[in-house]
Amino acid sequence: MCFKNLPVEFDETGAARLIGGIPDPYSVTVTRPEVAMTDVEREEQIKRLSARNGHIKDLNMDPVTRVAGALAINVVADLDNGRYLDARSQATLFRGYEVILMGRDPRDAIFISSRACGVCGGVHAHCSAYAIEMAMGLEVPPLGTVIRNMQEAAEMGYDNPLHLYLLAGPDYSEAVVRAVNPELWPKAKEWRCRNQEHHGFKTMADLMTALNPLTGALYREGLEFTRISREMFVILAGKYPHPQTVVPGGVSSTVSLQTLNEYHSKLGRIFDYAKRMLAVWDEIPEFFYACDERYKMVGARPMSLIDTGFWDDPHAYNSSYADCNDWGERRWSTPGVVIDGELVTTRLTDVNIGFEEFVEHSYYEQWAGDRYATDPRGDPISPYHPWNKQTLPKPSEKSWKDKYTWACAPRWDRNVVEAGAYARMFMTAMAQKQPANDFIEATGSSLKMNVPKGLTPEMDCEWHVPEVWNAFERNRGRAYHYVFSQLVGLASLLEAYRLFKLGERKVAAVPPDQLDNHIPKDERIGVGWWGAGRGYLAHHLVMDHGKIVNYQICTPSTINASPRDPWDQLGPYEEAVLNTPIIEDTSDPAKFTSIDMLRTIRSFDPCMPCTTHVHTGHGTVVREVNTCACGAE
Amino acid sequence: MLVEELHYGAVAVAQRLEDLRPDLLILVGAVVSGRPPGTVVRRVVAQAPRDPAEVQRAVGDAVTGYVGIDLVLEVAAGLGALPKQTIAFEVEPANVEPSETLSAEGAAALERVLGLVREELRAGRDSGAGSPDAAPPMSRRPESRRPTS
Repeated sequence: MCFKNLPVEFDETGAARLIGGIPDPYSVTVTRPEVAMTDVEREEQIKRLSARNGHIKDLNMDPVTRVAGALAINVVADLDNGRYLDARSQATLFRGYEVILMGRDPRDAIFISSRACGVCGGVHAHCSAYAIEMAMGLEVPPLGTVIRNMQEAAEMGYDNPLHLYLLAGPDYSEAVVRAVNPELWPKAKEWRCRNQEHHGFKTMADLMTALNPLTGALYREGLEFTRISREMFVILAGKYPHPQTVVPGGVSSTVSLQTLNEYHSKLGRIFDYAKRMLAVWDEIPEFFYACDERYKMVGARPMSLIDTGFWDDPHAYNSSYADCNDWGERRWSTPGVVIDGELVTTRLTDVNIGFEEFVEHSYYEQWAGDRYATDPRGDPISPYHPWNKQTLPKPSEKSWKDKYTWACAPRWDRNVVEAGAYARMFMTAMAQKQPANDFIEATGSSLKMNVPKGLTPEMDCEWHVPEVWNAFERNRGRAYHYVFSQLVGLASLLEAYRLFKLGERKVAAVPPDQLDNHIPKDERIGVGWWGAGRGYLAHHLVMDHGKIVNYQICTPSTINASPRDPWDQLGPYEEAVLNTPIIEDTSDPAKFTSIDMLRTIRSFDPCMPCTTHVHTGHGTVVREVNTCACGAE
Repeated sequence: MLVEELHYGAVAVAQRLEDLRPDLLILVGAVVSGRPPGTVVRRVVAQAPRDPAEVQRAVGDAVTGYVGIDLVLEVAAGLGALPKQTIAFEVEPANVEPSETLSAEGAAALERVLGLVREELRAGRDSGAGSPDAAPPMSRRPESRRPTS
C-alpha cells in the first residue's frame, strides 16, 4: 500500500480503487498531508525576529546565475543566526508549448516539444514518441528500443559533465572559494587528495584550480567530453539537440555496423574520463565535510524522490499502458518513488495515479471539470492529474500569499518529491529489479558498477544511498549516474551488435511514410515516461479525431522549482534553501553572496530557460528565445 | 566555402569553429534591436579581449541551449575559436512568433543578405583572404554596426 494521503487502496489483484464513503475524495481539504509550519506561522516568525534583530536580510537572487535566467529565488536570511527563514522559487517566464500543441497532429509534438529545451531536445522528442505510440498501439522492434537507449545514454553523457564542470563546478573552484570561503583555501592547500591516483591532483587546492571557469583543466575537459557525447548522439540521430529521426514506434535512422562501430570508438574514450569524474566528485564532499560538518546541511531535504525509470528492456517494452508495470520494472533504471528514504513503489501505474499538479500559487487558472476519472486500467486518477489538467495561463501581479511563479506544484500522494538523475540511482539500487547484465549490480542499498578498462585498468566502484541528502550528495550522485548511463550505453551497444548478428535490422514499427494510416480517429490517451538529464520526465497526451486535444509536459525542473502547494508545503528548492545553514562569513552584510544557497540551488541542476515564452496580453504566446525548456509551464 | 545552419547551441558552434578554423566567418541571423522590420545590419566583429566572468556567464547560457549571434561571438571569442575576420548580418524581424514561413520583410531581407554575403566572399577572395598577410584591416571600433541599403 503505497498511498498514505490519497484515498486509494488496492484489491488482492493489485488494482487500485478509491476508498468508499468519501464524498469528495480528491478535495484538498479532505486528503491532506501534515505540514510542520504554515505560511502564516512562518510569516509571524519572521516578523517577530525582524522586530528584535536588525540582521534580517531580504534578498532576491534574480537570475540565479549560470542557470540561464528564468529562475529567481527570493530568500529572507537571518545573518546573525546564520539561517534562512523563508525562500520562494520563481519561474519568471511562461513556456507555452502545451498551448502551441493544441489541435496539431500528434506527431508534431515530437518536433515541437523537442524545442522546449536546448539541452534535452532528444529526451523530449523521445518522450513524445512514447506517449504517441502508446495512444496508437505501436510496438517498437527490439533494435529500435536499443537505438533509443544508446541515443539517450549519449544525451546523459552530454548533460552530466556539462552540469558538473560548466555549471556547478565553478562553485567549488579556486576562483569562487578564495573569494567567498577564504577560510577554506589554506585547508585546501594542505588537503592531500585520497583519489590522486585516479584524478591526478595532489591537493584539493590543485583540484579547485582545475575547476576554474574557462582556464581550469577539468572545466576544459568537461567541455570536450560534452562534445564527444553530442557526437555520439549525432551518429545515431543525425543532429542534436533536435533530432529528426524519432518517430512513434521507434526511430527512422539507418543503422549499420559502421554506425555502431563509430559509437563504440567514442564510448571507449569516455570510461577513463568517467573514472576521473568519480574521483573528483567523491573527493569534494569529503573535503567540505571535514572542514565544517555544517556543509552536510547545505541543500539538505528529506530523501523523497520520484522517477519514471529510463532505458527500456528491448525484449519487454511493448508501449502498452496495460503492461506498463511489467516493462517498467525491467527498465535499466527502475521507476519508483522514495518517501523519507523508503522505496514505496516501483510500479509505473502507482507513479502515474499518485501524481497531481496544483496551481494555487502559479500564474494559471484552475481548470474546471475532469475528463477522466480513471486511467486506462480503471485505476482512479485525480481531477488534478495531468490527463485532466489544462494549461490556462493567467499573468498577474506577484504575490507571495497568492501567485508568484510560472511553475506549478507537482506532488505525488500529496508529498513533496524531488527529481534528479540521481533519483535513478536510488530506485535502481533499492529495488534490485534490473535486467541481468555484466556491469551493474543493485544491492538494496548501493549500486556496484564495473567500469571497463580504457587506457586505465578496469575499475569497480559503488554508489551508496547516502546518510544525508544534500547539495554535495546530489553532485556526487550525478557523477555516478554518468557512469551508470554510459554503462547502459555500452550494454545496449553490445545488444545492438547481437541483434545485428541475428539479422535484425528493423528499427520502427511502421515505416514513417505509412504512419498516416495508423493515426486513430477515436479518442485515445497515452503517456511517455522517459528521463531527462535532470530526472523525471512525463508527457501526457489526449488525442481525438487524429489531433491533440490536451498535452501536458512535466519536467524535472517543474517538480524541483515548484512553489507552495495548497497545504503550504514548500517546493524542493524552497525546502532545501530553508534547511541550508549560512556558513559564509557574514560579518560584512554588504558582502553577503549567499553562496550556500546558490550551491544548494545549483546542485539540483536547475534548467529554467525552457520557460522563455512570454504572454503578450493579446491572447498569443510569443517565443522570445529558443532554449532549454525544463522548468516552468 | 561551407554553408551551415548553426541552431545547435553556441558552445557547439564554437567547437565546430575550432574544427573548421575558417579564414572568414559570416554569421546571418535575426536580431531584435528596435529597427524597422527587415533592416539589415552589417557588423564587423573585432577581436577585443573578453572579461572571463562575462564569458563564463555566456557559456552558462550557451550550454543550456541558448543560441544567438551575440552569444556565439561571446563564447567563440572566449574559447579562442573566433576567426580573425568575422562579419555578422543581423536582420530585424517583423515578428518572432512560431511560423512555418518568414514574414514578407524577413524574406525580402534574406534575399538582400544573400547578395551581401556573396559580395563579402568576392571581396575576401579578391583580397586573398586566407593569407594572414592579406587580411583586410579590422574595424577600429570594437564592434562596428551599420545598416545596409
